[in-house]
Amino acid sequence: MSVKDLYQELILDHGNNPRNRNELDSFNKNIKGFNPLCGDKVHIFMRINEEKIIEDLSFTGEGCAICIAASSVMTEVLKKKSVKNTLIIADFFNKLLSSSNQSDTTILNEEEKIKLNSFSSVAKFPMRIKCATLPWIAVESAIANNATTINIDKIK
Amino acid sequence: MFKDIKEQFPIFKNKTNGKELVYLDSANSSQKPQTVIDAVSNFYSNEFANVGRGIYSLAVNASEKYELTRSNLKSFIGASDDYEIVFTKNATESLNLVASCFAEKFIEEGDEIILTEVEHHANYVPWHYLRKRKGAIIKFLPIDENGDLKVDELEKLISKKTKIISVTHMSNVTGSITPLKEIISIAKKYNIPVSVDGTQGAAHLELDIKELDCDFYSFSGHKMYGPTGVGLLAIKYKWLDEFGPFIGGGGMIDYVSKKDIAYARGVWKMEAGTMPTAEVIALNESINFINKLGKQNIIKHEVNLTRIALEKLSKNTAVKIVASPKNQGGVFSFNIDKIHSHDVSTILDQEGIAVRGGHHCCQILHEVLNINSSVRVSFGVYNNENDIEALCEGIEKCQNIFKKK
Repeated sequence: MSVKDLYQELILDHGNNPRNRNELDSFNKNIKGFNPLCGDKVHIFMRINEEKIIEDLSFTGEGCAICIAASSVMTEVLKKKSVKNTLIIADFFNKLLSSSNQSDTTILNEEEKIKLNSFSSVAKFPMRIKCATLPWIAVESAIANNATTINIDKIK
Repeated sequence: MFKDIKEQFPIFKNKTNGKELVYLDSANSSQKPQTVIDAVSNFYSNEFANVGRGIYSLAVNASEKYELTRSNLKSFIGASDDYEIVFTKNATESLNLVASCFAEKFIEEGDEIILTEVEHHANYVPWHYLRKRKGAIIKFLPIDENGDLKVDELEKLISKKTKIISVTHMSNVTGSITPLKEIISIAKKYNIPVSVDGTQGAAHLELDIKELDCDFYSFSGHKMYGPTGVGLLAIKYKWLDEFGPFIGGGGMIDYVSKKDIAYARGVWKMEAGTMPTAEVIALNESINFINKLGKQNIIKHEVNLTRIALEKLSKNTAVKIVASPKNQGGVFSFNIDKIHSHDVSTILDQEGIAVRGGHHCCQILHEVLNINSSVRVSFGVYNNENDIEALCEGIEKCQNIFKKK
């Protein structure tokens, strides 16, 4: 596993030019995720409508290229997804990085799958897995447990 | 300067990620020479017994060796008989001991503790606990634009309520060496005890604590080419009986009855239970190792490497050194423009280069410097100019990988 596999084009692109990195004008769910081990911080904003669809989402934060790219890609993939499907996609992403499980889902289109699969090599760098899963676990916790902050160091 | 010294450290025989190991993280922990490793193994293989209890030959021999480290450590730090040395788990525990078993006894609500902006969390969190317990106040001696402590502002911070000053010997982020003599002489004018976090000092800086005249000096064995699990606290003799007992148990008592307990005197009061005996005994070999090389030579070697590295890195305009202290040891930290320290660490790691990325347990300092994190380089006796060359190439590799987009 070479370091070039980790820093793929898509990760570098999103790491250097993150999409949706701003605070939404109106949001009804937000969560701050924090990794005390490395200082990565993300704040995620979501506007969820009555049909339980994420109308819009965005993030702000500071962190390494992996963390910022994961947040950026996540905001693209989850836009217009239902809350229910969000949890399935988050699970897909977390399994992708756990390296033990081959992960697949019918919810995502090919382009979205390719985007998320760009992060699969992070699994080979155990110290960096939480950099990528931080925004996803934050969104999961906000939706499933109504959490407003998470400390990823305390999550297995 | 120290030709072929890497051969004394077996770790350098192994490849890391298929590359020669370039170890630039000695401020975190140092690698171990074969003599130290052998001393641990030899003690367990041939000489093991618990210390301070049995009266059979093996136990007596083990006790003598354990105490030999204590007395050798005294000469190593220039303590003579004016100080006593307590074995702890690490420097963190030593600092906690000063806060909890000493300062705890006389600090009251509204009393003040002076620390500095460069302290490692180990020399902040124990004082924070005390602040919470007692309603005390912590004041921070600030740094100047070079990252050096503004010692001329110390007197302004001191008041009648100041009860203790605790400072590091050297910043583990910027390498700024604390002017301890100045700080201690100011403190003496006001009769304020001074505790020194010597974690970065013991193996890398000149050390004569009797001349410094500090009251406490905390350090760790594992950062001085010794084993993990053993820390040291040098206590000025006059304070020894002021220390309350630490953890309770066997070995720290004089007399126990159903109604009451009399604690052991001196250092034994603070060394309850079976101590990391093999580690303490092996630490003797790290003292020998350092003494053989000579402290002056070590300082010269490491300061010189810092100078060469900074000179080389100054040619790379994307590299920003976080602080440029006037009096700097073998440590510095930097950031590469637009690349996070953890990405730098991961890429360097693939080249066999071990550096630390993050805040290095110094969040207050990073906040003062207005940066989120940094990459730290710290030298030990085994480093040489090839390591700096590898670092510079590694940094270019980081830039190349991130240049694409």
